[in-house]
Amino acid sequence: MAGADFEAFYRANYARLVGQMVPVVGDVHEAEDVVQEAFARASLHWSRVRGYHAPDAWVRRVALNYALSGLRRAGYRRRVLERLAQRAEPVPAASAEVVDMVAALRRLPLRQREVLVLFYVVELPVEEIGRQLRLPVGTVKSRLARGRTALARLLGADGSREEASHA
Amino acid sequence: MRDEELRRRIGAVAEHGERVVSPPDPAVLYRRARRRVARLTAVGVLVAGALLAGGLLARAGLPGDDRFPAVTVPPSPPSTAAPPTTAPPTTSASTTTQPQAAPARFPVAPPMIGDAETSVPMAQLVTPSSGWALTRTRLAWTGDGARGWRTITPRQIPAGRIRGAFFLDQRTGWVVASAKARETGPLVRLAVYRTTDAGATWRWYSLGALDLGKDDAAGGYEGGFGVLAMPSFVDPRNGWVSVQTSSTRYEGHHFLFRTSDGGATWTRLPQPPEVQRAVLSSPTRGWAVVMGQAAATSGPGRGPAGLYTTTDAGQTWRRIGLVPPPSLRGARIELREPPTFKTPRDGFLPVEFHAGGGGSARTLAVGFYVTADGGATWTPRYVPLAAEDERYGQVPLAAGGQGSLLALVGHEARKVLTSRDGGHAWTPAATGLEGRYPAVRGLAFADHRTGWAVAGRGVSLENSCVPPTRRCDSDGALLVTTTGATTWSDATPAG
Repeated sequence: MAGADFEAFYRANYARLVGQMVPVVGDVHEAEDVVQEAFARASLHWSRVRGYHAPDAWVRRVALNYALSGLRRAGYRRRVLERLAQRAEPVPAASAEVVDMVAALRRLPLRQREVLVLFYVVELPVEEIGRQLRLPVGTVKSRLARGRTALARLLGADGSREEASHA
Repeated sequence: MRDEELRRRIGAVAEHGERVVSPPDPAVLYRRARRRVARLTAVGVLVAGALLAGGLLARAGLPGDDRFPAVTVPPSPPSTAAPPTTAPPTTSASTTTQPQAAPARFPVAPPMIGDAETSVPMAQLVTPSSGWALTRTRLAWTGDGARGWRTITPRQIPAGRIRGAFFLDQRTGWVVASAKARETGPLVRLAVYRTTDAGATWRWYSLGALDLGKDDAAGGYEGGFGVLAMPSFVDPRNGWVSVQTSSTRYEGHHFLFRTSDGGATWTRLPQPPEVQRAVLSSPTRGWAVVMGQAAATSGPGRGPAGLYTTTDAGQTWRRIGLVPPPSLRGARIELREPPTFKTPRDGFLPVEFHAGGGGSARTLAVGFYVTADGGATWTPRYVPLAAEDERYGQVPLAAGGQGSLLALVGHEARKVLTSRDGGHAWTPAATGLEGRYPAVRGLAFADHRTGWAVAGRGVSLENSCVPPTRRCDSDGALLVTTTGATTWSDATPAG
């Protein structure tokens, strides 16, 4: 199993990666779940992963794949809900602005959220997003544009949430 | 909505998530990892059981794998760039013609593997003054200590399709290339290119199509390497190609091929250990390392991590127990690459010795297991590390010969520890690398003075590029020293 350097890497990057996953999956607990799964896989392959240029990018990629994977969806909700029920401390309340944004993001296709997060949160250039997601740059740009447009519509020009008529 | 506003608002969601969580105990991850392994094992057992019930394994003749039966692949038609003669190579101008265990005339250092996206993903120091480096656009050769480079890329393929290379000497070399620049499907098609005239002409031979089953090869990202196909030859005729693919399921797929006619025909061997690269020390004796921490033992031991050897040219493998030195009793041995054999008898296996577990684990020492009898016995030679010299990541280690061992230690490889007496006494010196090339990924020495390193300029595990930028992922350098690692110059070939 991985050793001290893995644990140092894990502690240094865990919260940041969870934060990056929240806009994608729309929930802190779900974000923790996918990030923990990704770190678990990293621990299995740590002797290789730690030699990569950016091991955190590898973990994020695994977390994104896991979040997007159809394989996990069947039992996933149930497991997350079980964990939520067992959790002693609730997540501190988010601001209204954050709640609105999460609600809007959740109405976008996962693939659009993924690109939006890599562009706006991780701040990758579109070429790099294409490389990481193995997508043509044109596809990245189109998902980005559609995501932007949809968010603008959902949030309204003044940034307030649009009503449910677009659901 | 303006871009800046969108950035701010999505960023606020991420910041909220980041603020409200804290990492659970790593034991949670380890339990989860064990469950995953158990799940995969169970699936593997079920699949194997189903195949056995159907009699498919017997038909394939390969226990555990019927997707790619062991077949001898007939040679492909010669390419248009083929040399005038079609006879298989028997020797080259700079190698001997010994039929057995022919050592290379010069010490052969292993290819150093960087990242597929760096500007110099791999290189090999073949003699003290010559070697090759792969860049994004070409395979380049130097014969003058990396002062000048000439292009030797097989004209049939772009450099971006090269997955591995190996030169036995200054004339004889092999390149393995993929049919596609980025593999994304379940089939990976590979071809071997061979030169016997220092890269002036190349002939190619098919290695066949590797079937990943229901998995897909992961183009070239997912940590970078995508598909590695590393040749290793002990003489002009006998060699292997070790293939490892990463995949969209994050599972490694491993294949091993053998040739005894210089690469004209290839036979797929039974399932090898899960290794990136296997090396030969004789036509039938080979070595491989399954990376990871192996509990020190004098017997075969448990678990996959460890040193493996074959004496029947890769048909069967056995794991070799390694004994830690008395002063490091109980330490775990971290292995990551196969031994380098400078001659058929003199081999060097780089290791790290770790102690403790969980949050208290640390690197106690680094060094080598050394053999002078062709691998019959392995003796640890090591140097304890001061706390300030521990690296967050792998310690680059290299052997220049029996009397010359080196380790680059400390933050950003700022210090070199050198032994000139086979690992008994070690002398520290500054490398001058600190702040310039923070991530040294590969290291090879031809003797106690002359060495190459593949290094990254913009990223290391200490500075993991947050957020990653193109510069972090793309910059790399080939560094050369002729002073035993105390001074380095950037010799990266253009292109």
